[in-house]
Amino acid sequence: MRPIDLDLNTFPEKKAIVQKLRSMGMPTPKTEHYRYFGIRPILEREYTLRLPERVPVEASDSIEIVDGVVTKAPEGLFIEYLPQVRVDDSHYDQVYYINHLLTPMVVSIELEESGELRIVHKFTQNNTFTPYRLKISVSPKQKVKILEETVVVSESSLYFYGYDMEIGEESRVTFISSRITHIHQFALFGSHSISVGKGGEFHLYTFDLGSGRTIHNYHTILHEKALNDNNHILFSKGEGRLGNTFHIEHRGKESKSLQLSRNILKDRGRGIFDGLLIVKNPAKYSSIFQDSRTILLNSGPFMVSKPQMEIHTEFITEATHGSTTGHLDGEALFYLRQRGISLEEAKEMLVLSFLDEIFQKLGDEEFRREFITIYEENR
Amino acid sequence: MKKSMEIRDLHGEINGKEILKGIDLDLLEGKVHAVMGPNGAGKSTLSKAIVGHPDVEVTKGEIIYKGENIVGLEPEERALRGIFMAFQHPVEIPGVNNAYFLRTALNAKRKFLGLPPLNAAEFLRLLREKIRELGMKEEMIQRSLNEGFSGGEKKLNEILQMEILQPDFVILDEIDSGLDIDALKRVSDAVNKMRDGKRTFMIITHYRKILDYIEPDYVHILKGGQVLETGGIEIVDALEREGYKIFGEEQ
Amino acid sequence: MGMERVDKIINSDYELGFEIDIEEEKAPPGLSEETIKFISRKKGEPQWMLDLRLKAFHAWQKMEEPHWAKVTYPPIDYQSISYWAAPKKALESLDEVDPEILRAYEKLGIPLEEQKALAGVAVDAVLDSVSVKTTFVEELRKLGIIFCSISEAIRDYPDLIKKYMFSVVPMTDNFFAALNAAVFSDGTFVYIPKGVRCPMELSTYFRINAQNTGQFERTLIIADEGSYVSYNEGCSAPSRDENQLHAAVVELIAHRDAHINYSTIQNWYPGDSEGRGGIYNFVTKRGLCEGENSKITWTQVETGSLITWKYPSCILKGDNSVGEFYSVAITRLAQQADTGTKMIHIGKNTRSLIVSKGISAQKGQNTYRGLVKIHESAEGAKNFSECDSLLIGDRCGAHTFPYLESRSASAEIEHEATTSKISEEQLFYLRQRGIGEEDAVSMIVHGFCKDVLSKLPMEFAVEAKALLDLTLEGAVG
Repeated sequence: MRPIDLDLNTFPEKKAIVQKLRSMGMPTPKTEHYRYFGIRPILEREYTLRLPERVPVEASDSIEIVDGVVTKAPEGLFIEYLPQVRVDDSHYDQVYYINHLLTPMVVSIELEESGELRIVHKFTQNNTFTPYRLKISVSPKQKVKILEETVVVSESSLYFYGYDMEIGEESRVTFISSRITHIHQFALFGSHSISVGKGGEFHLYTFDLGSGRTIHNYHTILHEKALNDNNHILFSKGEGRLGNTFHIEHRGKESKSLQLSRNILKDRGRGIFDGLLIVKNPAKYSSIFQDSRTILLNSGPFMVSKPQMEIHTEFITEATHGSTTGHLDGEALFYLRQRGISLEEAKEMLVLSFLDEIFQKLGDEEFRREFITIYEENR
Repeated sequence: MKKSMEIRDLHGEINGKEILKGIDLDLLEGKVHAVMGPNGAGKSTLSKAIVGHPDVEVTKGEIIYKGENIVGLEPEERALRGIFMAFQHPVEIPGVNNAYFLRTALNAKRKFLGLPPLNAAEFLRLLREKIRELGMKEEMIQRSLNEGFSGGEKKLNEILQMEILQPDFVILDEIDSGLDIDALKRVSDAVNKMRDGKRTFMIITHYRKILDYIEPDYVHILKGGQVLETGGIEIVDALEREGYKIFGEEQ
Repeated sequence: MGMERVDKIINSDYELGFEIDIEEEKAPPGLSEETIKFISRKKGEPQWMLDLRLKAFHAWQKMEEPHWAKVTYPPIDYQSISYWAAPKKALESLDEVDPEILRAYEKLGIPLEEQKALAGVAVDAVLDSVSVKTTFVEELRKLGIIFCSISEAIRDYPDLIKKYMFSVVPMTDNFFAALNAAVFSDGTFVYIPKGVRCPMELSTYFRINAQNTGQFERTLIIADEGSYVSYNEGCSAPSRDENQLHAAVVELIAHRDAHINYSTIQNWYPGDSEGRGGIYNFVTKRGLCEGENSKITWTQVETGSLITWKYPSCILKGDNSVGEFYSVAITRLAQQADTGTKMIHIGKNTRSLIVSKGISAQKGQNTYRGLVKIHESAEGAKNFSECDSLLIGDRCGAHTFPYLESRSASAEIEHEATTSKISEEQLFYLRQRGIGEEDAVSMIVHGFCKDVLSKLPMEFAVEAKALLDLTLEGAVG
């Protein structure tokens, strides 16, 4: 099938979603958040639709999802397979609804206690189109850390996936996601909806690296005193197109969102940072902050930065955004070289120092070392 | 002796919380009154109540100034009547030229007094003279109001405004905070020069230091939103030795 | 600050909302090939111009009205608009100008005679489409400067028109540009020859007068090598019950070492607090820095119109060319503005600067939308943007949508934006110094806009400041 030709009449049991999608229309190259991603060649290709099935789950220390199928999971973790879950009715991404339409059963996980969860996604198929989704509910007053990893061995496939996440009141979720792909014909669309309850916190760290095509669209809803703290490192090379887009919607008062984005581009790599922070009228005394910085290592890459604010109340505590796109500081490079450091090494040092703020915030030395190793292997 | 300001049973709230709980205070014409007290005693709230800051709601009592109860007057109406506050943290206003601002303020006052406005040239002459006296940099005339000023420059700018506007009642709100000893001296000298036997000063401070440079005639100790003690400099000495606890403060 | 106070202050009546009573000759409403032929005939145009108009019209018929801007309005019925209105009398000299019109200009603050005598400003006044009077033409002609209506230029300088018209804004660039190309009524043409520095500010006053007429003026300015010109445009329209459409096109071409300064004060009728009667202002303005070291500066003060859709842009093609955009946009009542700029860097070491100040009050919605695009060829290009928004009142909105695209590793883009309200501390500080609330707010707003206002030519700056106060009258801001 060609994803763009999806026949909406074939989903009579999902009326509300169909209706929503009809009002939005299918995504086109002009769709604002796909404008720079180039969806046409991806969505107009012919794939074999491959819907995930339910199989017996093997005990393991992490959840393993192979082509949308849960194959391993920690013992004692309660996983349900739901034909339908409650759907975000104000997501900006058409793919979110398409994904919900096509997904026969949503992998649903309830986290009632504090703890750590590791989720590994494996993509192994060729020329297939696989949609799947996860739902994660976190009970109030818990601290949860989720580590997400992707392993791509597939040569040429399309995957739609995403989380519907509900974070209970005063809970704190730290979500660390590393998405590494080097396969140009591979495309991954993540479409996520996150609702953060009163006083809750959602800390997101994403590490996108490689030359494949991935785009993640996050719709976050913040209730009273909720916090969304987003941090992104993106390294796009080869013919890679890596992007993250956001609509962070402040609905409750005194809510707070901040975004740091650090992007490194080389070859013909493309990077997309597209973040819209919306402060609704009732969300008084909220604060929003965005800071996107990019370094282009050579001529040829393409960076698009769209830090955006939409503010509907006078009572705003802070609303600032900034974005820079440039190159490594020549003076700094020279300084290091004058001290006997090679050009390559000096560049390396400056790139890592450029990323450091995010690693500092994450405060996970092991992860940092791991990432740097991966980065060094792939630069 | 003539009273410049008479505060009677003043009660005031911030965000619905009562901070001033019946202040009674006489401020005598031509005298320097120091107002001291521990954190949360109500010192800043009292000064805000006098200048009509919107944060403070006066729920009861009177502030009689030059024979008139000024509670309920707009901030600018109080300012035009001669009440001036040197702010602890003077706010920065981008794009508003320092000289332009000050001329507008001065001409508002002159209009209030029935005097003709000063034109730009007359005003600049006056401003330059005062700037020289204060040993300030002339370039600050052209800068935006308080923008990019150092802590000391901001405080000096407050004093400059005071020199230009020639108020009758001056509140110095923690003017000593964040100043090094040189800057403190310059500010104090300028204030002392303005003591002319008619102008009244109210110095709000946490520390004794500034009172070595600007000698007060009276010291008032505030605590729990009331005036606990009034006396001379000797009560500051007692304070230095014993801390606020001799006035019932437990720290 | 009390809301009531602010409302009172902002709710000043539209001071320019009077109607001039002169006989109009109007085309019947509707748009067809016939309408276009009628317009072209009325203007006595050559066949080649009519052909171009028809070509644009056919393209327009296949286009769709764009809806990506953050503005909402009821659908426009293009068949109910009259596309041609001209004062009946043909006017050739100042003496023949209807005293009514002259009086109106006086009310607007641009008496031709006075301006002539005092400011040395040459004014090309466009009243509902036809250029009423061009002054100073002779003086300028001695320098080789051409300053005339676009109709005259089509008649007298066909080679220049054929070469440059549609060269920066193609006739099918967008829906409104295509509409303009088909039906444009009049506008201004300026040509500054090589090495000439235009000795005076050139100025045009636009004004929509007749009911139910769209205003579709077209401006073309060419600055040849090493020349300089500063051009000012002011706009206003009387109060109405129904909305009127305005779709103008401006094209600027700066050759090597040339510099064009283009300033606009836009004060079209903003409509009432429910949005009744305001102007729909859909404008395409674009400048091409064709040659090396050329420079185009756009400065705009936008206080009027119900809907504004406007992105004065620069294509920086010549190496070392410079584009600047300075903007103050105020939306109050039910006004919606979606405005900003596009800076397209193509040449090496090109520079662009964007300074945008948005002020929203009452139910006003103010959007900055800007594109900075650095092509791979634009080695060493630099952009800096600063977009600040000020909110006054809790029913308004301020939105910032920058698009920052870079393909050049030696280029730098820097964008900063903040949104805030007038702080209570600032207001109180000024009031403590004896400055009344209204004056204090006005002072803060002027301070906020200072970087832009200081870019306007002197006489224009005075007008802009007065307009700002008038807009915020009562008089806070």
